[in-house]
Amino acid sequence: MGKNKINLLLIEDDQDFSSALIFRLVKRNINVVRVATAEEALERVSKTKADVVVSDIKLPGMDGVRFLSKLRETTKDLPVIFITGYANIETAKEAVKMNAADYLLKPLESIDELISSINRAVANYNLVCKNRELMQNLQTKVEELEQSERKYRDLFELASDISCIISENGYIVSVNKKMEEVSGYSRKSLIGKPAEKVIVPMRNRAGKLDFQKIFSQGSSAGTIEVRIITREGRDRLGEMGISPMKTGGRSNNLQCVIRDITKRKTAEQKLQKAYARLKQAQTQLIQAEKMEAMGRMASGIAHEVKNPLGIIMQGINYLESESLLRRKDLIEVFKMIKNNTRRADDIIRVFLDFSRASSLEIKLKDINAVLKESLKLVRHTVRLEDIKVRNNLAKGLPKVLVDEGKIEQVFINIFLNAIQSMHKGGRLSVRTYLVKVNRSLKSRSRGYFSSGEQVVVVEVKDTGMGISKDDIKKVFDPFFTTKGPQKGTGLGLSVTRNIIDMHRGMIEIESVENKGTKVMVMLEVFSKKNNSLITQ
Amino acid sequence: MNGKKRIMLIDDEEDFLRITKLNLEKTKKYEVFALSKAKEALSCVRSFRPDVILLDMLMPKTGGVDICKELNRDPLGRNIPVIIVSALDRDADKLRAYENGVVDYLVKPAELNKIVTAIDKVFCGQTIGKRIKTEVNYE
Repeated sequence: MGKNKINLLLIEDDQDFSSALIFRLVKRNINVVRVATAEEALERVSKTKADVVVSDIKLPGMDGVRFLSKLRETTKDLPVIFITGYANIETAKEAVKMNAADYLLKPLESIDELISSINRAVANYNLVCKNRELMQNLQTKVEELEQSERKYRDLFELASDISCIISENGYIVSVNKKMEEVSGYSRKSLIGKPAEKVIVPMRNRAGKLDFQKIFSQGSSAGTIEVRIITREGRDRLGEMGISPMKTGGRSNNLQCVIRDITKRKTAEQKLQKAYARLKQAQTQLIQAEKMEAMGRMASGIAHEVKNPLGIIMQGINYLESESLLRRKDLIEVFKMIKNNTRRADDIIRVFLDFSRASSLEIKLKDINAVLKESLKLVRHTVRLEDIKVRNNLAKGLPKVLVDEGKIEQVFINIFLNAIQSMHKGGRLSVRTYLVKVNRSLKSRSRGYFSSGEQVVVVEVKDTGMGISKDDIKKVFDPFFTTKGPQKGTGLGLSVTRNIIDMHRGMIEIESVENKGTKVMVMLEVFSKKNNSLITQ
Repeated sequence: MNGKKRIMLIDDEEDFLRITKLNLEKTKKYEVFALSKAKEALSCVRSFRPDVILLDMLMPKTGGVDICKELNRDPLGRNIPVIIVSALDRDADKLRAYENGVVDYLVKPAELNKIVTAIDKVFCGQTIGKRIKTEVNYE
């Protein structure tokens, strides 16, 4: 009770005794409220905040023992000290039974006897009150905890996301219903299983989730994209939030919440593919429009330039025939003018070819037959340059959709480049074969090829002088040539690539200086997917 | 008659007309009539009566194919071989010309010897195309 005054309710009908007692008690710093009857005391007890009751046993009306019995109906622990001049065993027994704090006999030996009894009773009462309060608090906390656990269990169990608890060493401790649904495993078979057998991070397919690290960090590891390996072996995709669960300041489990994002991912992938197709179609459309505009422009330019070239050519022809001008140096000059007029004309013609590649007359063709025809067209040059031709054309190749004329132009261009690189003598190898598109080929094909589909490859190899590493990057650039100004326009491979692009094919060049060059042309095998080329 | 073949040259490029006329006449094999106004072609054909016509394709208002059609409709004109000498190099133009009865198609810049060879082929009957006696409705 400490420094606080004790409030005492005294029940005593003897006026003299109670006055003497009150006098002494007040002196000892105790507040006293006196009542003469038990009935009055019962009334006052609830109003006065009494810490202790001191009561006579023999009272007018209700006696002390009955008072205590009545008091205990409402107040269990309020200490009651009996002081009686008529002590007997029965009343003493009764008082103890009713949980009386003390039982003192009149006359009191000294006031100290009562004071120490009061102090004991009040101290005990305070302890009991404190204890009850603590017990009540504890009970509330337990109830709150139980409620919170019930809520958590419901949340965990009925969550629309996967929830699982993983131990420090990576074993599954607990899973919810959703995990059972998604993984196809029963709760029983999941608990105790290494988590890495079911949950695999996406970014590093071969890697494991480093649970130890997450524990050591002691904080949430952010969101990780994971694969959930189902019982049927079909992966589901998830987005996992993972955080250590702290108990007593120490992490001993990980709480993982995984959202099934398979549908979202599939939709995203579909959207990405559709976007890529749209982008490709757009690019093709823009390209086609550009080519058409360029075609119109080229055709106009060609006419405007070819007319003056015609006049120049006729002029040279006229001057050549003049006997006065049959001087060696002039003949040389005329030859130069004529050659360069032809060269300008060649450039215009190739430029026209380049622009005309925008329209194709596509038909289903056997690529080997087209190759043989193209080889026939260069056989004179082959013979002249002493080149040996080796064919290795695969039998039974599926047909491809091509504009025969344009593809012949492509092959003739490749053959002539090869022949010119060999400088008298060499070997020209032509090979055809079928390949399945893999990831690498697909990525290089600018989206024209799909994984798993078949592609016909035409491989042309020469034993010529090859192309330097610097030059190979530029071979498809318009007007780039290594042949010198009199021999090449620098548009051949540019036109070639344009034609191959229009066929949604691919051309690649590999070369080793002084050893030779390999050109590969890849064309899609006819399928329902690419028959749209026909309408181009 | 001086024994020279009569060549009629129709082109809107004045310089080309002049230099080609000079060149052809220099061979001493031909008598050349050069015409830059395509619309006068038929009347000039009637007056000059050429053995061969060298004709440009792309000319203002009346093109080479129009002249071919006019010639084909004319009883005199339809028998005169026409050789195209044009800057147009498209297959479609060549096809249109051949369909309208031209016997050969040369693309500018054509050298003199090529033009002469083409003319001489006509007289030897070695031309690629042949005169179409009936009217061709290309369009």
